Amino acid sequence: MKSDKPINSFCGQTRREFVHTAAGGFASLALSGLLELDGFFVRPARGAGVDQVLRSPLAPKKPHFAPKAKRVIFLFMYGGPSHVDTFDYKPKLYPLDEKTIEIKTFGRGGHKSQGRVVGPKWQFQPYGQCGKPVSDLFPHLATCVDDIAFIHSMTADSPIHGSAMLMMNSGHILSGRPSLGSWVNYGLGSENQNLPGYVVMLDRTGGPISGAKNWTSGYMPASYQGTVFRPKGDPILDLKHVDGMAPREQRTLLDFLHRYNMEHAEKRADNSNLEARIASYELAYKMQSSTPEAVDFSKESDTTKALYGIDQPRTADFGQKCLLARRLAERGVRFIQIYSGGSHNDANWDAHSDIVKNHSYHAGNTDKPIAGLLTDLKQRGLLDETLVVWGGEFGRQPTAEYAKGTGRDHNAYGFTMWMAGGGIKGGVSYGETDELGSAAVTDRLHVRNLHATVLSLMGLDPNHLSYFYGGLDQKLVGVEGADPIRAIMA
Amino acid sequence: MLRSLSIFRIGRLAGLCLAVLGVPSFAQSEADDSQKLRFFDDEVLPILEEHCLKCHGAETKIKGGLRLTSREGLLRGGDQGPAIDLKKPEASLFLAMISYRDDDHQMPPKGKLSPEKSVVLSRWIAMGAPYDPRRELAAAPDENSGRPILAEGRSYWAFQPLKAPQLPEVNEVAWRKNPIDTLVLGKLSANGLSPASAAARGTLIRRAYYDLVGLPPTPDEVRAFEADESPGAFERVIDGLLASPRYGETWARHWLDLVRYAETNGYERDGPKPEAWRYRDYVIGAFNSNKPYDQFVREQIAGDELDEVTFESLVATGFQRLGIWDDEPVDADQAFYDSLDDVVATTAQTFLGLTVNCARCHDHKIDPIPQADYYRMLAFFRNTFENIKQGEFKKSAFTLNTTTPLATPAEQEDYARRKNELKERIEGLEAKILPFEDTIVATFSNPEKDDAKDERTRRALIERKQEAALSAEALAEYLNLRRELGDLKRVALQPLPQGLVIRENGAKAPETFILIRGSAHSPGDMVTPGFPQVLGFPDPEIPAQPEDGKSSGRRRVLADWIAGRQNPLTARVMVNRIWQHHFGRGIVRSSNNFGKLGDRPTHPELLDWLAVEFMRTGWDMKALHKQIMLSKTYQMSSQANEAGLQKDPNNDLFWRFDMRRLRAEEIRDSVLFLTGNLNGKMGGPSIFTDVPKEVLQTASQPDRAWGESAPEERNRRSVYVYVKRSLIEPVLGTFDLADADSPCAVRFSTTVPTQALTMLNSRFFNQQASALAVRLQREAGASPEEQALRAFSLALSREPTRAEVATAVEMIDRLQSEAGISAEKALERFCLLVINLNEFVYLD
Repeated sequence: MKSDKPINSFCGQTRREFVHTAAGGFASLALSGLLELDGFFVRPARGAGVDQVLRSPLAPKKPHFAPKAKRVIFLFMYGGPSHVDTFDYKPKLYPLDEKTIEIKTFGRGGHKSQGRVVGPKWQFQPYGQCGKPVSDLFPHLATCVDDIAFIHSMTADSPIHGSAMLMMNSGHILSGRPSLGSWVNYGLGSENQNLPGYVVMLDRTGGPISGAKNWTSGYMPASYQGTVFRPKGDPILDLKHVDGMAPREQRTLLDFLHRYNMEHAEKRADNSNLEARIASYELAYKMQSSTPEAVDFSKESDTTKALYGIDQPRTADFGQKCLLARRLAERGVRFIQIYSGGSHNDANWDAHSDIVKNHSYHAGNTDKPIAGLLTDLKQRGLLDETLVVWGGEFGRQPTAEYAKGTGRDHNAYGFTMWMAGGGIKGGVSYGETDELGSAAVTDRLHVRNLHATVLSLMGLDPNHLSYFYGGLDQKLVGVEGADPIRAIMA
Repeated sequence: MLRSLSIFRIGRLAGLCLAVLGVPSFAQSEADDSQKLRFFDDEVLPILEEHCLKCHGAETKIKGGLRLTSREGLLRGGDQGPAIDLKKPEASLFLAMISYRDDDHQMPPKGKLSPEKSVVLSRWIAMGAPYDPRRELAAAPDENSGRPILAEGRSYWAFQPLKAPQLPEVNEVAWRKNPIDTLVLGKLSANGLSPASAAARGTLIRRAYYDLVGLPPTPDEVRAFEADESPGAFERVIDGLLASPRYGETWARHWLDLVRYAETNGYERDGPKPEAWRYRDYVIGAFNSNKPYDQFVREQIAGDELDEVTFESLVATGFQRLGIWDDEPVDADQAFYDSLDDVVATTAQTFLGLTVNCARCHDHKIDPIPQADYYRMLAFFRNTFENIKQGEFKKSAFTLNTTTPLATPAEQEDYARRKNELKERIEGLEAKILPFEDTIVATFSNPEKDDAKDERTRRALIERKQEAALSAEALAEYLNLRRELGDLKRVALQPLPQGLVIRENGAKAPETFILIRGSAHSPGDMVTPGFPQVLGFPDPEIPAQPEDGKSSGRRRVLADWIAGRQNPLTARVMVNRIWQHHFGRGIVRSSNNFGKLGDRPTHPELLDWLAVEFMRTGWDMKALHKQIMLSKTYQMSSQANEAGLQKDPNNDLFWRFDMRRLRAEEIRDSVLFLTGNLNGKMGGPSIFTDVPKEVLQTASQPDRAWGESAPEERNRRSVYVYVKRSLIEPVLGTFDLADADSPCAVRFSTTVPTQALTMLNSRFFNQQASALAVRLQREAGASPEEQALRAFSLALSREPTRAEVATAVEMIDRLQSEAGISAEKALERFCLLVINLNEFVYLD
């Protein structure tokens, strides 16, 4: 069949093959490719032209260019931390406390043109060689500023949680798009086939709003979606048998299953999906031992645990997640996302009524663990190849939301995120909000630029990484494309 | 000259002041051309280079269609129109953009220009935007020729009128009877291939059962078919399956994937779509009753505008309300068009196989669909979604959740009357209660009176004070009245059934405009309802509606056109879908995209023959199934042969039948069926399966994330499981359920180790393994041989070989002797093995 389609190439596939895979036209996206790595197959797969069938969706793929980072740890401060109380120092805001001023804001409470200022509730001190002012909320993290690039001119399309969460995780305010971690795994595959390539750890109080939509693979195959990981108990769903099956028993079962399946496959030797499924049971078996090994902290020293704050009740939970993130990073997990905050209202950083109470709580839970993570990654030589991203779905307004109290409404006109590690310049700050922190004014950036930066550092060209769906070459950074933030890239 | 130069200098120093005062004065000045060009080179161009040309001057892709590398580029402008207005320079779009006056139109995006730079650019525009010709960079030659060429597009295969193809001559007598076979064999022969032999009868009946009813045959059904060697045996099996209500449940699920069926809205609250299940039941009913496909189309698009409007046809329009919906939109005007886009995209892909949605922001890059066509199609639906004004979403009557009573006027009147009666009785009681409560409230302190403004506090205070405030007698009477009131308020009037439907805002539809770059804030030219121009149909006349009519009548026109026999796409698209779900892939593999970026049909003549036949039989879906299934092509074995693998490894030519993995619903339903636990109850509100705590914990409100159904309800077919956008049912989700946010035409079939974990370790599969063990003991007694025999017959629709039985017995023995578990437990483990077999989840 001759194709009269435009000559074009997508991730090394022809358009036809691409459309095909995207439409799920192949009977299956098989695992054989990755098992070839393990020398699992003795028999070569049959038939020409079925290379794509034999490639695992998560088999390692070549990046577009040399990557600066091998993996990402995204610390998601769900609910929207206030930039003027954390990293975006606004000295002029303090004396305006309680004064009503003309100011354009847009948040949950709608568009407003004036508001009562809430002065920053913490003092800022300069830290590190770069002298970056950091608020007293983060005494530990502040010691790491020389490794961090602060981005103060972030903007997003929405100051409403529902759409803003989707924006930060999938680049679009409309539901249904694959998340950042899915794009990374789609583009690069996974280094470790015995663990998921994309791991999500949620807050004790529950998931963020929209739940699984935040780590969905959208219109891509489910192989690219995030797997929810728990630092305690069964790390992944169904990793252990529901009412306990002894390893011996399970091995016997698997051996007999293998025997039956091999006999079945023998008469259907050309169907690689059957082999892939046989292999998937061996992989599952391996996951049952490799996953608990990943979450087992018994070989971690007390010093290391203390570094993450695991010895303190306040920081133990987030500290465990950060330590687990490092262990997963060491084991080749490509994209790890940890949520600080879950559920609704003050269970996350969504400080509508009392910023002091809310931010003291969430910063207090996470400051030491995050500093511990950066320090530990660095001392193990992992920071250079691990990209750490910190931030929420938006920031908060310099003014109060209600007539009383210190709560701030959402702010997508300007907010701060930071990155550290693989390919990032340390000790720099990029972009500015106005002197009150209400909107980004200098070097304004969009969430798409942040996403483009992550992809670029991972060796993927954000403007070429595409997936054909719904008649379009879909991209994380949208049809318009976006540049990475070169000023903070080493 | 000196005078002009000094103005430049002052301009730079004085900044903003002169932006107002200086511009007109300069415009009137007599600076000569070289002066202007030097100004351009020295002052303007550096700003353009620094802030604009990266996006608006690139050699290849320019943003927004705007090129600022030539004066002509400015005059021609971009998607939003000319950048400069020579007659009224101060009103130029260019200046509006750099002024940052308007939230939606701000350039450059990285941040507002300094006042000094703004002044320079304002002056430049005011003097007519002189451009140094030596610095101009012309547009790339093909930059403006990328518009789809309609005339060329008309020759594309999918847009050709349908006509029955010439059937080829074939030698094999058995393959001459059914034109499907003739067309397939003709192509195979031409490529030097021969078809695979016929599938074994056991294989065939299993294939037929799964294809039509999504469940395996029972061992008795297999035996009966294998024994029946009379000519019409397979036809009778097909007839029986098509008559089974299980058929509609199975094929409805394919349709629900296309129309992104879900029962919640998504986003923060992920609120329920009331009564969405009635649409699901409508689709099941439509397949079961073999509703002609053209009628099925008409009802979903315009069920409220048909000559005969029924409750069923109203429910069918719920199709337009199934999409994602943000109840707290960041931009209400844009959100309104997002909802319309969801309907346009779904309608065009589902019924026409066209990705019209690609033309929302600009002309389709590849297909001959100009942007105007998108908005002409949108115009058919323009009257269906009422805009929610910014910030008023909570108060707005409009939601995607609008329901309408499914009751006759008489029933509605009767209901209103009964409701009113109840209301009057309640009011009567409340009037009697009032004096008592006044007495109690009179004893409140002043601060308490303040607090009592809150109804809940008032109630609590009354309860605390009632004994002190009233005499024993009065208290008794008061409490009695309260009890009576409580009882009355609990009287639940059986509510009228409601349907989630589309409703219009009267007979007159608002005007529709092309939205420049898809922005609700940038209306362009006005358009009226129309069909994609490439198809060459005249613009429709929308019949005049009575002034007080309920709707514009536009969707009826669209529905009639889509369901019309002249439409070249509708029948082709639907027969392709039916083929797809029998053969695992469509004749056009990209079944939602018949455009140039989609796949070409592997058998264009076959597709056309099926489409013509489909219309000839009055769009009869069951007849089409039967025609397909009675073909030799369908009845081929899946066994490979060397020649086929060599010449056509992807089986583009259908030289054999392709194996396929069961879909998520088939896996879950089959396992329940196997154990005898499947509850065949049909229809009604959706059910909640037993979802592990760990999964609920991923929701933002774990306690309210899922519902609870009675145990036997949980065992109903998967098509009845609640579809919640933010929480995917884990057993189904593991096996590649469709993502419900956008249309899904072809499911993925991934193979990942987490599926093995679910099938080996999860509660659901282990519970079913135990249930199967109980069934085996009941039906096959205590002998492991008999148990294994029965298990294989039930699960695989065939008798096992002796060796297979022996292996089973060996396994059960070894589990007992080596792992030290009981015979019962060992049998359960064997049952778990059976449902994990490749042969169980893969069809030949």
